[in-house]
Amino acid sequence: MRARGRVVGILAAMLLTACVAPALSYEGYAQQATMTAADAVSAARTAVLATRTDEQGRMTGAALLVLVQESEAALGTLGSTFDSVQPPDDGRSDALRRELDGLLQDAQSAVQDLRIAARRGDDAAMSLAAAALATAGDALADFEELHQP
Amino acid sequence: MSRLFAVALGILTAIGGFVDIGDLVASGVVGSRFGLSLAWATILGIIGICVFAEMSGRVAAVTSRGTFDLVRERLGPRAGLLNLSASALVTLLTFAAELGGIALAIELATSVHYLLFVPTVGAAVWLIMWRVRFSVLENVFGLLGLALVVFAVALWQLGPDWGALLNEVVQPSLPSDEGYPVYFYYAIALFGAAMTPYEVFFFSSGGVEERWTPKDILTSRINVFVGFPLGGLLSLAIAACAAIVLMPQGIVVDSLAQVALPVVVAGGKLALAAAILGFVAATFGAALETGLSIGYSAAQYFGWQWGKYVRPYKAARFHAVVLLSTIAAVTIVLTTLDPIQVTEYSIVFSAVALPLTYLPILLIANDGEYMGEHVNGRVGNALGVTFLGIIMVASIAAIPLMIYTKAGQ
Repeated sequence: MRARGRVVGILAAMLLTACVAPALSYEGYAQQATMTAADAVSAARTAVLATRTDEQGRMTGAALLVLVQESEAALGTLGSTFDSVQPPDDGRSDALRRELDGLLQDAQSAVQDLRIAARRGDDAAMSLAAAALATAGDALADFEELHQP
Repeated sequence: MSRLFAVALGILTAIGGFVDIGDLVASGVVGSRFGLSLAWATILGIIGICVFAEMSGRVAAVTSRGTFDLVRERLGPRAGLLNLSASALVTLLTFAAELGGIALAIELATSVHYLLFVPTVGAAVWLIMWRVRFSVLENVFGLLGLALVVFAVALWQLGPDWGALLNEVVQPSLPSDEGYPVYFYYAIALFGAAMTPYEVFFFSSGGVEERWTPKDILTSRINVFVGFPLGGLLSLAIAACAAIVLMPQGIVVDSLAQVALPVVVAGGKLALAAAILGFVAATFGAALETGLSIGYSAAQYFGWQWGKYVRPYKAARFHAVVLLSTIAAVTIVLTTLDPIQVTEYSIVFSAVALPLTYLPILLIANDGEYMGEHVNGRVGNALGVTFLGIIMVASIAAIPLMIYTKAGQ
């Protein structure tokens, strides 16, 4: 009985930590937006660092591809998860959503270009895509700093 | 084999075998978010596992019996069954995480999606558990795990400000963008990663497999008190590498590939190859330990013949449990749950289950009827009781903190 209770408790804890809560106020929405931006910065800069390391001849192609693909998947998930959060009914929240959506799309586009270039072994295209991704990452970092609650 | 060689081999195996997927992930995440301000939690966990691993090894050497055999006898079948259920569940989750870790490490070398490797990895792990001699599987993967020393080498190559690093360790402080609930959540995660229950079950059962006697207590102590702390230094090196390379760029580890990134920055392709070898060896070795631990626990509790020191047909039920748990662990990974998330949950739930694991060991190691002259001394008891208190606090706080912080977000 106790063991069964413990299993139920573990499953409940796992479910609770996975829930995405709707934002009830602008402050709560801004907090979710900045957390999303922080995660996006991490994903973008991982791919940029991996590419810069590859340019120095220090990274294998397989590892680079894994890191870039993981970053692409992470950015995609962040965008769709943030879009699934219902913003509070006010103009500020809508403006925040539009701003972050734009930045996330820029990062997603750049990392897709990077993944395509990496698979093709096109060093020049990779360098350009990494530069664009670095810019997108910096913009997301600025957004996070600006909107920290 | 001379005694000195055996001791040296035991130490090297303990170093290389200390780190598993939980240590890799937890150290990487914490290093990239908190720097070395949580090093105290890793150090606490290392001391704790040394205390209880020494006790469980001594119990095995004196009684020649496995942990769960003694737990059922000493605490009664109901308490023993509760212990078995909780420990088996947590160890199964850890087993799945280790299998996922092996597949992720191979993906890093090949860029082929990790899920494609999982069935083959599961089959390989089971075959080795079934057919390979205990001493061979323990020593080979322990020695190969020494490849993780590349993180210590990378740390040196990165040329950090050693004074600043040491200052972070001895004067921990909360980063400005983190809160205390998340800080202590990860403290518990690091502690749980160092003190996972399966290590104790495997260590004590391994002592019976290798037919330890009281004469082997000294060797066991040297392996534990020298090998485990040196292995723990590898965990700190992983965290330090993440702190130096990833943290300044706002990169937070959430994949095994990111754990390797600082090593690549420091040492290039050769270092990456060593890191991947270390990842595979550490997670493969830990997968063998967790898979066998589930078999040991069940067989010892139910009184079945167990172990690799008898022919498989003589321990058929033990091997059946090992096979079924391997299938279950493979199934968990194939549900496409992120192995890194499974790892993070497993180390937190390990922290929850710790009192059930360590209290019986403390009681038995203190029992003169079982231990004779080798019963716990005052120092052993003082340390054991102190750590039991810490374990209770961690166990009680783990789930509420996990819910409140949404698993560290």
